[in-house]
Amino acid sequence: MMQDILSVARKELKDAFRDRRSLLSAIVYSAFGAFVIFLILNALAIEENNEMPTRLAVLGAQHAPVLVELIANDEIEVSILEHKSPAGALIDHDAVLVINDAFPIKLNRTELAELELYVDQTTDAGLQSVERLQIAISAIQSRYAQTRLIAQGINPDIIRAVDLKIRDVAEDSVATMAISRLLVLFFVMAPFFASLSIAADMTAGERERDALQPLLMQPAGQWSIVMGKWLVATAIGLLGVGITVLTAAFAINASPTTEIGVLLYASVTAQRDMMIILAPFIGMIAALQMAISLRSKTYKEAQTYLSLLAFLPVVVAFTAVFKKEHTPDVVYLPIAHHLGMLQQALLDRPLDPALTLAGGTLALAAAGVCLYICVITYRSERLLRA
Amino acid sequence: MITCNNLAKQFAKVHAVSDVSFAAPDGKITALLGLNGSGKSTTLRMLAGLLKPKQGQALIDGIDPAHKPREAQSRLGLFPDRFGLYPRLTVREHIEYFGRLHGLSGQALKLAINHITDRLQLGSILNRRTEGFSTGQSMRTALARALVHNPQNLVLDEPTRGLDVSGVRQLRRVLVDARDNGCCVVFSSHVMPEVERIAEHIVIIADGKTVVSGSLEEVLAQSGAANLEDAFMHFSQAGRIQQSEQLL
Repeated sequence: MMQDILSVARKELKDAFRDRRSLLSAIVYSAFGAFVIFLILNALAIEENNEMPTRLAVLGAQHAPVLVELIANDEIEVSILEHKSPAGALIDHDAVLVINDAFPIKLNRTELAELELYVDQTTDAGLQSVERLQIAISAIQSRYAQTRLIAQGINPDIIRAVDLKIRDVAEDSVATMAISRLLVLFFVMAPFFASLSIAADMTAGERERDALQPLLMQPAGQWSIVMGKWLVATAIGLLGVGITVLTAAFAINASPTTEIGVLLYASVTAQRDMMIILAPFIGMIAALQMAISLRSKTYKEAQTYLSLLAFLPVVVAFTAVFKKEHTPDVVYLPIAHHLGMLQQALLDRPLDPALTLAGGTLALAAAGVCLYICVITYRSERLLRA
Repeated sequence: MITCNNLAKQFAKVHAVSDVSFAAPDGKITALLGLNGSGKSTTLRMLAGLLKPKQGQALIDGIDPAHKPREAQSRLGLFPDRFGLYPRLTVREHIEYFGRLHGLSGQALKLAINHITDRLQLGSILNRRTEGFSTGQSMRTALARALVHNPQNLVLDEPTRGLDVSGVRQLRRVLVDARDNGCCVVFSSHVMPEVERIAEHIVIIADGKTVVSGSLEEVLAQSGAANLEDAFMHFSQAGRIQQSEQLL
């Protein structure tokens, strides 16, 4: 049996390496995917760096020169204008602050002094202006209030009944978690694309070329044929995913992630751990693709089914986002398990050996079931009738 | 030796083969004749262990392929109705692959490849990929694949289909050589002159049943026809009439 498995594997490997379609399918995703990761991370960083300060026009600055001085900071660029209407000033600015002549009088009387902000809130710059001005004015207001209390001999803390101090216990920022979740989806989808072409070609393609009948006429058992083909599909999958991990790690490490508040570094250990997590999964996907392709009459038919299958991780990832509790099915089930484990690896956390073993065993068991389905299909007379 | 005893095969409601019996001895060429859809290919597929008969039994050197397919297949050289070559493999790689599946390796495999290369004059195309091969080149490659393990029984499904005169001559030479070496050769065909020329034993199948089996002389005598074509038509129509009567 072993000689038959090796004979089939040797032939399929030779065939696969001569098939540009299969090789491209295994390699293009990794190269293209890494390039996309690099582009996205860089685009986010550029966007972060390109945030312009709010251009604020102040009308009536002479009524509150100290206030105008306090408003100006890194995020707010102040221009003092005279003899212009708010609407006219808004043409060249993101927002216009109007200080009327009653403002200093009311302020001195410790009455509520009003300021007017003219802004177009349908624009991003306008919205951002409101947010930034509110923060600046709130800080100034607090400062005025404290000064007034001190002037009257009152401790300013008297108006603060409760002080909530926030201690962030999260190891990773929200941005780190969001980006890492997106990246692991890319890694989990890699096996689906790496072995897609080879799995379809060695099963549905072989059937389409009428080469299946001569093969089944040979004294090699169905298990030998299935195992030989599966080994090669898995090997091509490992190759494709290996390249994906390497190129994606390079893209992550070369991107200015810290500038967008993302602390990710795909170390060599993280890359190794990702391959350990993905290896049984790659075998499972190859077996599943073979089982599906064997039921297809042509390469194209198989390709259509397998392309649809490749979106399964997206569905699982979205389901996992909405699932509140991490029940055992999420922890161990293939895809969900791999999404979680890969995120841990990407965050450079040590592998949980028991969980890795359990997830891997389950993936291999699923691969076994798929391979058995392949054997049953090869034994079926229906396969030769079409 | 290949024997079929009352073989029957049904696909859903269609009776592809209902009663085929014949014995193809070693050292003789047996031709299976029949109109399209008469059950020839289904019979050969049952011999190859690809289909299980609904009833009856096929025996390859006394081994039933329905129960021991691998043992039976190892004694068979099979040439299917479609060549089914791998376009990215060379002729040598085809022969090597199928040789290995028959348990050949090392020096034995090398000798087998050399032998079949000489026998089928494959030298000029041995290291060429089969993509774009002519029908004759594909036929020779498929034949090499069937003969690499030097089988005792050779089964061919319409091997002359699409071949030019040169290809037919070459194929004829290979079949005659195999017979002379004591091999049992069974082939299906539509080409009457070809069958008349090389077959010592003729089996005519009509509507899934064996209607006559014997030497060319015996077939002609039983039909009262002057040539095989007339005899073939006589028996084929007789088979159809018989089936129509049964249906009525």
